Amino acid sequence: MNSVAALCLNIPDIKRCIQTEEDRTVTVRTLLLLSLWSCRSSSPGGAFGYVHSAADTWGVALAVRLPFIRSLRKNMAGLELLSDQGYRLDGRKAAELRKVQARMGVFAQADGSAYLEQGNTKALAVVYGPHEIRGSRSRALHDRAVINCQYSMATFSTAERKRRPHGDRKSTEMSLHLKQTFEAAVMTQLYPRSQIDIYVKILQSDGGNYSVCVNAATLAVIDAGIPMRDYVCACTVGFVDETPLADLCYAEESGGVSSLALALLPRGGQIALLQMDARLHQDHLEALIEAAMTACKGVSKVLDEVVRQHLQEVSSLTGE
Amino acid sequence: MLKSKTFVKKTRSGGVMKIVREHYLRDDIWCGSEACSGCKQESTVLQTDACMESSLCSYPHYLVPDTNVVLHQIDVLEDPVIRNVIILQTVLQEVRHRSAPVYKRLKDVLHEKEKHFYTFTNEHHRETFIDREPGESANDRNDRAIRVAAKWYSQHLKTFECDKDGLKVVLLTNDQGNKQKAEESGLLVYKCEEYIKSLIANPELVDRLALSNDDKNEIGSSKVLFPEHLPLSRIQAGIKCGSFLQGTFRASRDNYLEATVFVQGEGDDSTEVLLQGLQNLNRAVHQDVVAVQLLPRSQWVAPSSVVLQDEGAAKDDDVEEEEEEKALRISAAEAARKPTGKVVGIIKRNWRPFCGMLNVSQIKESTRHLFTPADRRVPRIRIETRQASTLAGHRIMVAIDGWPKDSRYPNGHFVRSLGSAGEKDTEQEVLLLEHDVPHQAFSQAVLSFLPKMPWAITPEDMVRREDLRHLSVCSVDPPGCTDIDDALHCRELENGNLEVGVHIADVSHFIRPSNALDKEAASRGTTVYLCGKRIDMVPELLSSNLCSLRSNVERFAFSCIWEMNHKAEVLKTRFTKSAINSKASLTYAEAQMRIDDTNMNDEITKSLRGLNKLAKTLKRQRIDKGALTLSSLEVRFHMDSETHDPIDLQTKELMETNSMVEEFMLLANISVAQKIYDEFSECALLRKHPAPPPSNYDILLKAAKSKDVEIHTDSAKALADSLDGAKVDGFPYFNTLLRILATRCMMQAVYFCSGMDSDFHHYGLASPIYTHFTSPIRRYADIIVHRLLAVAIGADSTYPDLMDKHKQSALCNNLNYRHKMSQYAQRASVAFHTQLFFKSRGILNEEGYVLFVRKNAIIVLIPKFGLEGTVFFDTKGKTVPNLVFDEEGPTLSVEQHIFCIFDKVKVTITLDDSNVQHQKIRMSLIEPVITGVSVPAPDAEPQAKKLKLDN
Repeated sequence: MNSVAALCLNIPDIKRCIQTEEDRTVTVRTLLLLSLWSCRSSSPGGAFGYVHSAADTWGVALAVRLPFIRSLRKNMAGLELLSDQGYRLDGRKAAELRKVQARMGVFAQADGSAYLEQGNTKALAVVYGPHEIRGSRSRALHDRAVINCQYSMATFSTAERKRRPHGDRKSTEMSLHLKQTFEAAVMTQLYPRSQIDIYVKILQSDGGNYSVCVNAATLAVIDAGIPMRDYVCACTVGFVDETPLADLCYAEESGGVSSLALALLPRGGQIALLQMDARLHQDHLEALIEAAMTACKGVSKVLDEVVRQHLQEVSSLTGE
Repeated sequence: MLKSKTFVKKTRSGGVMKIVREHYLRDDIWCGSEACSGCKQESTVLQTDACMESSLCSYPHYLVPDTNVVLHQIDVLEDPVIRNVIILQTVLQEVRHRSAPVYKRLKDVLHEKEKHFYTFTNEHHRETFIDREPGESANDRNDRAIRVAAKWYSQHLKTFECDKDGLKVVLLTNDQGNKQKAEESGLLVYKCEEYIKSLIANPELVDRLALSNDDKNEIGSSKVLFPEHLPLSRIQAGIKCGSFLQGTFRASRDNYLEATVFVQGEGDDSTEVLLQGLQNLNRAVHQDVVAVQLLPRSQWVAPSSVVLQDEGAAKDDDVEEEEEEKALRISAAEAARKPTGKVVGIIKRNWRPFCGMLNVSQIKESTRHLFTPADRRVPRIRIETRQASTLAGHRIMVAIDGWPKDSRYPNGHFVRSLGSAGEKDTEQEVLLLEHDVPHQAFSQAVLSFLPKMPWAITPEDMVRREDLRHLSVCSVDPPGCTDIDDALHCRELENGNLEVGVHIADVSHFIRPSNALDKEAASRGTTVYLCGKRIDMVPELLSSNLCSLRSNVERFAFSCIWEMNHKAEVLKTRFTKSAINSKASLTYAEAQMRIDDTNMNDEITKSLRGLNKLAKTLKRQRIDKGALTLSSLEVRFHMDSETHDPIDLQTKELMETNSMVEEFMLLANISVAQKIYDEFSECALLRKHPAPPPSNYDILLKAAKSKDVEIHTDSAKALADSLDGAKVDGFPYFNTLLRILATRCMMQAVYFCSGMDSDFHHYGLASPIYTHFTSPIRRYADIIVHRLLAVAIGADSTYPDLMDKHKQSALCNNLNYRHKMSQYAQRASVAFHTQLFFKSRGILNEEGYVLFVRKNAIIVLIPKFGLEGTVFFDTKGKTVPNLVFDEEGPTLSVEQHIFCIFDKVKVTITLDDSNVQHQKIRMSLIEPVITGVSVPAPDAEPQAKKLKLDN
């Protein structure tokens, strides 16, 4: 497990990898931590080598989205996201999470499944595997399992019913992020030449889709009995009036906040994924990441409780 | 702690959309009262002895105003008497939706500690949140929420109050239905008027009450005077299909029945629509955004040249008015007719509190009076007050509440009194208000960002700064200057070159981006200098102490250091943040004396001599490049040290040292402009001075031609050269007069953002690029430039707004506006003091020169006082002499005498105070003697008058 230590990224390392632009604001876009395996195989060139800036591969696609984010910012200027008394739109304080409720083992047919609500964002995660590689055998890796993620949104998940075809750019991107997050957390080396499928569906969307998916999928993976290094907990944070806001809801996300999504392995404090599409002054980045980590640790506590309770229920059923 | 509560909202954005939002209810929201023992709050806002002496409530109580009370009576709530008020979140949000200015004012009040205003987040409190019931409107639901919260408060206080002295909660509402329901549920509730009237100690607050709706109906006859305004939806539809035009309403200064609407077209083309007659003006007030409909071409009229002032008595005297309107419609020549229209609706009111004076009603007991604003373009306003007798002769402020269609005048309410008219403080206040100069004391929020005293430089501060404390730096400023923002030094280097440093106060070190202090400074834009008073842009602690580069104290500076050779060529330029210790703060005269005194040979004097020598070379180089030296007479008042009355008036003298400091400031500004532009080509804040269009020079060319002098205006250089060459024998003042005229031809210099413009040239200084860097204490533009430069040299970090060219551009617009207004205010202040001066001097006979010739008057400049005045030849009630105006000259012949520009005349100056609001200096001609026009020279009697004043 030495490599886990090597994986541990601290904030200065991240800062070094982030492009600082002419005006001293940073656009993190997406920083992905490649799976453990690729870390080990890459040259040990310090932490720098372990981080792959997805801006190279995804930069073009994401850059297109930036003006869109800006235009939103203009439209939604009408909402006061944080009142002088320190309350947010929905009555939470800055660091408070939404109410998290979860159940494991919701489907019998799948190997593992979980349903998770974070406020009004609701997601269903289902895990199959590990099993033999389906389809082309050439995808198989000789020393570890392939993780296959698929993200989708229900047609009824948003305010307006909308057909969402598979494989549109947004969901492909999200699938890739999920895949990379779980490659960093699942101990894939235990299952060489096999495949693990993770399917996540957003049933209702109210901000923080990525983090809810990660949290739900974690529970599903645990339910499937696949060993992981730690829970992967994710949370978004936004930055308003010099204050980081934890776990943004949709109104806040679209209200022109620079938001950052972070997936964390809480026990070791390792960052599995860090993503930010908006621009932010580099001085604030550290505070924001700090707040995101605290929020993720909060989520992990809830997940842990859910798992323990589930375990108790299951064991009482089997009479142990 | 978290209670999840989901509720459903429908909003309209394109179509109907269902929005689901979470709503958490909490039980950790405290009541904010000092008397409460139940809440676990850390700090309290509301006091235990909340005493406002009221005949209705003899017990201590908290006020809970509803939304309409806050919206309409914010003037009352802002009064220091009103304390211990609970503003509910429901109210705050509704106010935010309905009126941004009121919301801002309410926020300011909430921040003020002495006011004890508390915001109670009732919408998220478990016990005060209510759901909307089926069939209930949003407004009713909010009213109910307010009642529920007030109820909760009164029960909460009853239960948890520690010493049971009967703290109560009083709900204020003007809504009859709401009041009734509140009474039914056992709440203490009063109408706002009832309550304010019951306040024992403060009868004057009553006048500040805005008229509420039901009162309005009583005023004015039932006769409908004006056509109805169209609803906004129809206006928008009309504008879209082109039947209406949208524009800014500009009332005429001279004729209250006439106005123009300035319609901004696409690009540069814009049209003006003429409006005539009260019906067509239809209750629009100066600066409102209105929708106008063009009248058919047959009804178009020409602007009238008649001067009409609304002198009608308080009663609506329409007979007379109709006659006046008829007088306007004298059929004009077809060519002179202009597009004429009528106002069909108001898109946005632009009402602000207006300054002016009260016309006391003739009926003694009447409480309704008319108010005449100082700005002639604003109609008179009807207000209700009981203190008319005390307010008569005072300058007061009045806000308009509304203008019903059956009322001849808008209805308003008294806001505050500024003091008696004619008094210096009052008049100063008036001119500040009328020129929109923010001059209130700095708020607590702003002051909280000041450094803590005693302040000293710490070693951490010095890490990123160069230590220049050993240099013999000195500052040269006008006498009495306390905000010193620049200091200089000059020393010889070992290689024989000279090192020259300009050290500018490092204001950006103290004012950090986007805090309240910064926002306030940005909104003020500039320090305004009036005669005997300075309205600071930043609090005094900074402007006169921590930032001011006073002598013998250590101060932070932003230094611009050049290496120059003796020919004043710049070899090297560098910028650095530094710490300096000025060795002397000199006045221009003192510095001049040191330079001239050959016995003095200390470091500072040597440094000054070096600077002076270089400055002369720099100036020559600059003039060779085509920089203009223009002239405008600036006057300086000698003030009495105790009464602050002007005793003497003097035109400002210029010394060599003035231009010495100026040269180096220009050089620093240009160097910095280049540097920030190189670094940030998109968002550098620069200053440009556009070349004037050739037609601007017509008057100058004609004037010069009349004296057989040729002026070339092809380029700045040609102009400068020909101005230098323009001399007339036996008329030494001619050149100065010509330069004064040339100054009037120039354009206004403006700030702009480099990413939004391509023409950077500064015409007057003949520099390709220019900015303002050297006076950050008194100009906000300089602070931005400091920040940009600091980033460019890596001494500071940026923030997003600094790099956003659109935000920069918006900031530039504000700065240009403030700058212009501060100049107007300055001029108005000088004019007022000139009046005071002449009041104390009585009648004076002076010599002057004709500066302009108009159709019916000449404008005379008196060099001794730098005073300009108009001599009219067609005074009312006198036989008008035979006037012939020749535009070519331009000349004006009055009877037999012909006036040309530059003629020498003798005039007598008196103060005309027949109109208290608009006092002015009156000049009449003494020489040349023209029968029927000129007046015999009266005896000048300055001393006698002055004695009288002293008594």
